[in-house]
Amino acid sequence: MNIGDRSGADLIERLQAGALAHRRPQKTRKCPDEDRLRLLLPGQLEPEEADKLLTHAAECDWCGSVLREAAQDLGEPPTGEEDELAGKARLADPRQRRELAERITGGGRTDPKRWAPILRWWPAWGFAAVALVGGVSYQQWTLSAARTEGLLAQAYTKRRPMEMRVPKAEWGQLRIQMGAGSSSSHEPPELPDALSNITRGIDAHPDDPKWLKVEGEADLLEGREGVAIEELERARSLRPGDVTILVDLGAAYYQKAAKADDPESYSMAYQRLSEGLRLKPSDPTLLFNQALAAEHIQTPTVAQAAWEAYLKVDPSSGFAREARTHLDGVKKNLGNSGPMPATQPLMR
Amino acid sequence: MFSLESGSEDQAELAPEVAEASWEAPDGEDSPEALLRECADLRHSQAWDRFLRRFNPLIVATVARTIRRYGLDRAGLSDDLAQEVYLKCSANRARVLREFKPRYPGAVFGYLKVIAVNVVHDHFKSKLGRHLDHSPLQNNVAGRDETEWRLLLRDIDDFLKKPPVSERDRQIFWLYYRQGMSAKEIAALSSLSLSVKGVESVIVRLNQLIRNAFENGERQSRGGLVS
Repeated sequence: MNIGDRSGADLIERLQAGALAHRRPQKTRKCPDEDRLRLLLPGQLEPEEADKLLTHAAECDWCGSVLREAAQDLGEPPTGEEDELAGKARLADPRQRRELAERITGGGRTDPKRWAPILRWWPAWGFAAVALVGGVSYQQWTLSAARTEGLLAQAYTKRRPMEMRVPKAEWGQLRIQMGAGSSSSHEPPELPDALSNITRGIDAHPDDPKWLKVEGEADLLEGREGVAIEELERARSLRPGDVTILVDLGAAYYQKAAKADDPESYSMAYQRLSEGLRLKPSDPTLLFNQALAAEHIQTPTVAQAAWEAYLKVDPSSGFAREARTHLDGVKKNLGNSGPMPATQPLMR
Repeated sequence: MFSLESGSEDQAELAPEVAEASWEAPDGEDSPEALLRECADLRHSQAWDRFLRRFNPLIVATVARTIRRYGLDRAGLSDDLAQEVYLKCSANRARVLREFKPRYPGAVFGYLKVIAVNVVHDHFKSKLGRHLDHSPLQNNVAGRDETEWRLLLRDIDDFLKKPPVSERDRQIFWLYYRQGMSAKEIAALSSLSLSVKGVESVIVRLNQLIRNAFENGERQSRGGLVS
């Protein structure tokens, strides 16, 4: 290449023309997460990370394009058309807005200051326990995901918010939901303790499936099944062989289906629970939950078989009593409709 | 987009944070930062109600704009995805809200818009199994030799990597000349903390520096500009 060609005003023009003609936007393994890249716009990144991402984007045609498009989309104020659309949005209706706010917060059931005294004394209790057992292991255990799962199981038993079971929980009397409509004064004390642990655990280990699982379960118990599904699906993708995640996930889809009368979510619930049973065929929690889901999307004969399978592994607990009631109901339906042909279930 | 002349027009436009003025808090209400902090405690349904009332227009507008890039709009999609944005905000014990750092007034708006944009891209990535197609800006410039262009890029970059050019200025130069961002778009990157005028000034200065270097033969003495 002749250096003389590069001198003068032509140089920059040729640089621009070349960019137009030869840019090759191709994502590579070195490209950063695009969600992080876009955070350069509101300046939410630490200077060191921002500098690294900018250097990459300046040289990478793919990330440069992502950044350029984001700057175009975010830099301009809304157009008249977009303003109009926002004015007609679903959440422009105050009632729908309130409903969503309640769904997100599980009904705003708790005065956040109510548990402050307990939380304030938490370090003291923790310290006392450490002193008693003579080491830090107890404190670590109290804050662990396994211990938190136990707290959630106890909370479930004391104030059971749904028919579906959660892992490790004993039978409890079915009551109104912990979420919407319930009084904070009836909230089991284990729940705020668990929530406090989860906040700490998730902050320290945001991608740990154990913490994601207990977080999803807590949201489920608080009536936020939409959020719970998101968290539990993420936990499942990180640890697909964990049946306790599948139990909670099935329960979350079931709750969503029950609230919205949504057959697709019943089907998802059944699917996730069946997935769990393939891994652990005699798990009573999975069998119980799957039988419940089967009542909604399977033929009565399949539902009957599911309850009978459950009662084989648990003939005597409080859950078994409920299973018998369900089984009687299914049989009655079968009796009313005459002998059922061996039809195909709605889904497998 | 590539000419400095078009950059000068950008100076007359509003900076992004000023453009957000229409979304500012109504009198007597919490600041947006305070509202975000309240919502980070997921037990405040009234705070969430206020959050939805205040930010939903911004989020729906952002979602609708991003959906248009995919050309696959359907009735109710912007509402559905706006709802996804709120789920994302409340997931992981509202981690997204807890992580927000108010580095400058009005930063909340830009932050929420980025979350909304990310939700839309994630939606289409999972539904369509692909990224948005970032096709070249144009591909009709005949007779351009790519090898020659890449050599030119390399030599200019070698020049920009040496003093007195700072790394920030080098980034700005390439965002402008290689990635095709306008001065206004570059100034929208709050991480750079520069106004449109500031970006233009960097570009003009480097432009001159490069021209001088090539015209005066400085390239030989600096080394690396000779191919």
